Amino acid sequence: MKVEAVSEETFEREAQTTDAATLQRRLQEVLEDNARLWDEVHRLRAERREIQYYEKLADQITSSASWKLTAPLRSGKAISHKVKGKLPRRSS
Amino acid sequence: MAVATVAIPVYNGARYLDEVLSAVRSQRVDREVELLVIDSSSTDGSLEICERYGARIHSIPKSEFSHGGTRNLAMEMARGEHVAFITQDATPAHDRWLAALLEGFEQADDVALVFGPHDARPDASHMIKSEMERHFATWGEGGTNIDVQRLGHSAAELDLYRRFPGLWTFFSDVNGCVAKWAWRQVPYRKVPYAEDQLLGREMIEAGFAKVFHPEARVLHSHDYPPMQFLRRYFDEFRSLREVLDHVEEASPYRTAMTIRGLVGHDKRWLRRQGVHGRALVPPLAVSARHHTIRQLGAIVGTRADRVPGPLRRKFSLEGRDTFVPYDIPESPLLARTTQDDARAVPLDSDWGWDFIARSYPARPVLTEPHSAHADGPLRLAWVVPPWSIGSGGHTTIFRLIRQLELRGHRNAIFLFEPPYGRRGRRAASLRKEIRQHFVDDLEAEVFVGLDDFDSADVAIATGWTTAFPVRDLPRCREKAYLVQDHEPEFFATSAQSIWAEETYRMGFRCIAYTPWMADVLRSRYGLEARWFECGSDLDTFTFAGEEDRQEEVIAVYARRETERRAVDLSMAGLALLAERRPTIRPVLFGSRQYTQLPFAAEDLGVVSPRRLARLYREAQVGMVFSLTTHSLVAQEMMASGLPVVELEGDNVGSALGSSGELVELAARRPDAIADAVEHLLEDRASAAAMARRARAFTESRTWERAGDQVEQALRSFLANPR
Repeated sequence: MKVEAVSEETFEREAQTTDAATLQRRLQEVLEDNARLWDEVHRLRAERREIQYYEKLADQITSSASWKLTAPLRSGKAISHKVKGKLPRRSS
Repeated sequence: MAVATVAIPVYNGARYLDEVLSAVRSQRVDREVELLVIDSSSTDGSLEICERYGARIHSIPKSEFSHGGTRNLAMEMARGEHVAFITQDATPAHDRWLAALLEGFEQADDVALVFGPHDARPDASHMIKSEMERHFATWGEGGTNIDVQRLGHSAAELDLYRRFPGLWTFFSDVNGCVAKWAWRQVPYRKVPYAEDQLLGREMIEAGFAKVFHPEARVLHSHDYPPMQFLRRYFDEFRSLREVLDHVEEASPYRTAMTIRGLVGHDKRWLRRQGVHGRALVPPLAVSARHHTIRQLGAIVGTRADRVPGPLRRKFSLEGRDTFVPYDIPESPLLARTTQDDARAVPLDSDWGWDFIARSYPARPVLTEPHSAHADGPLRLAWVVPPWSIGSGGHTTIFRLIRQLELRGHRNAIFLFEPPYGRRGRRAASLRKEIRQHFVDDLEAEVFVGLDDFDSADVAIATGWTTAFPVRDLPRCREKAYLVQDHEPEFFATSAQSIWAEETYRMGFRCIAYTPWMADVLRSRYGLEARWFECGSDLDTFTFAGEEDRQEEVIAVYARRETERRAVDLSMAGLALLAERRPTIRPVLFGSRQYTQLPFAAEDLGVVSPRRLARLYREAQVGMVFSLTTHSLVAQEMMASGLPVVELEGDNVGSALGSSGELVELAARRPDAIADAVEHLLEDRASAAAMARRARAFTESRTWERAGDQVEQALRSFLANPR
């Protein structure tokens, strides 16, 4: 009976040790995941700032006086492309 | 039952009075409505109409009437705590008009005034209709929502207020309601005109709220033949000048542009009504005439003081020939100056020191309670001040960050710009700059400002300005302060020195550069301080022996911008030395400032580390002076085998040894400096031996070691929560 009791105790202790080690490992994994996600959040935020920067730049360009002044040139170019695109079809 | 008063000043208003009072009496509201009429001795039957609608009538002689004074009388007599003012020709547009005005006061406890839009009467001209619509669309997102207005006190808000005061101050007692509690503090001014604008201004500036309610509509407009319009506008603008000192701008170009703009508004309004093409021409011609007359009336009216009396009478629709400026106290918020010979200081909504003002009253460092877990990868947020390329302090910060990255920690860098920052820097280009000029393999993301800050295991302040925002950052387990130098000493007796010192009283846990700096923090400020020592870039600063060195060449760190480098002291020492040894060839570096000296010297300016390494390999002596923590330049010279002269002091001795075995230490006197340099130039054998010892010393001071020291400090802070 005594032997049985000791082995049971040992088993419990071992089980507890195993649990503690597992929990420790799990905690480590969670912390690493947490740090990785934190890093990812910052990477995404930095990308979002970049997108905002270029959107603002595009807005500034398209709302500038020079862009508006040169709008007819761009329209003309687009029209000439369309016309050129149609001409070969007509001749063929 | 609560009472709401509707007050109407009346003088010969029979034309619309029946319609107006009928609309008032048909209001559906959960209060008793008191109808109060102040009559200025009407003779057209107005009183009989008022009596028919059960109005409480108070008669005054016509001579006693003034827009402000008469309304004060009405406020005094009113039984209601809210008094709605309309004019004798303003008809409530529906039976919930009064309910809407009263609803305005329910928006907040501090609402003093509520006003609503005026709809032009159906027979009004298109110019009047367009103007009314446009004007009341200014509030409530195009005139559709309830709009609560209060005056903000920030520089940006005050600047906007100064430029467009009417956005806040506009109030019209043709259709407005006044809270009695507010009026008791800010009554109407006894002025003949613009009393409502003054009331709006003074209520807003007193800190009360004003509400625009889109449902509190009245029908109200004036239409006259062209010449009568001219005379009415003359009267209106003369009064604006008399009361508000408004002077309409008059220049051929500006006036033409104003008229053009107003006609343009009318054109858009007509198009919205379905008028297009040629059909637009006649109404726009009428618009052009109307707005020209309006501008003419405005220009002449606001200059009525220059118009002779008889002509004034001819111009005036009221037949008044006077011009009486009223002494209204100027708005303290709108007045540019109080001294006639002073200039107004421009408002700056981005004032660099604003963060300091907002950092008081002093608060302790904010941290989250935590479990003292200090293992595994840490999340580190570094808040750094702006840098210039080549900055030694930033080189250290970025190298430490890289070392922590190599140990698996996650880092993010936040640039805190005030008060010196260049506005509008792009985070991506700053990151590129760090990788190009400081640490080429740094991985951390860079952010401008702290808007993207989320949380951190440790937030780290890296300069005195950054300590203020880091102190208050939320969601941090710990806050640390990387102290590379005793920054209060950077400044003369000044606000900056006070603020820099204040950062040592915030309760940060410090990581100091050098044991000496840690001692200063502990002994002077009682702070918990650990320390690290910098490494040197041994790949760039390679060791060179005596053979390639050029005789008498002295490399002198002469960064004039940094006063703690005591550049004038080193120049004084060199001046004495040059008298003894005219052959010395000092090569200055590190500064963008030009100078003139009493001895022959050359200036490299600010150059790359590689160019400096070449100089260190070619010179015979290096001079670097430090009055606070020692410069990394000294260590780089030591790594290059260049014998160094430094100044005596605990700051240097505790880091580089006080025995003189690693560097030649000179007293802080020109003659002692000259002696020390001369000794190294003369005794090359002992200089070379010292250089070899110094090289060995720098080989033991690596960045890996510095990284370990900082990592241990951070883990120890986390393992021992406050």
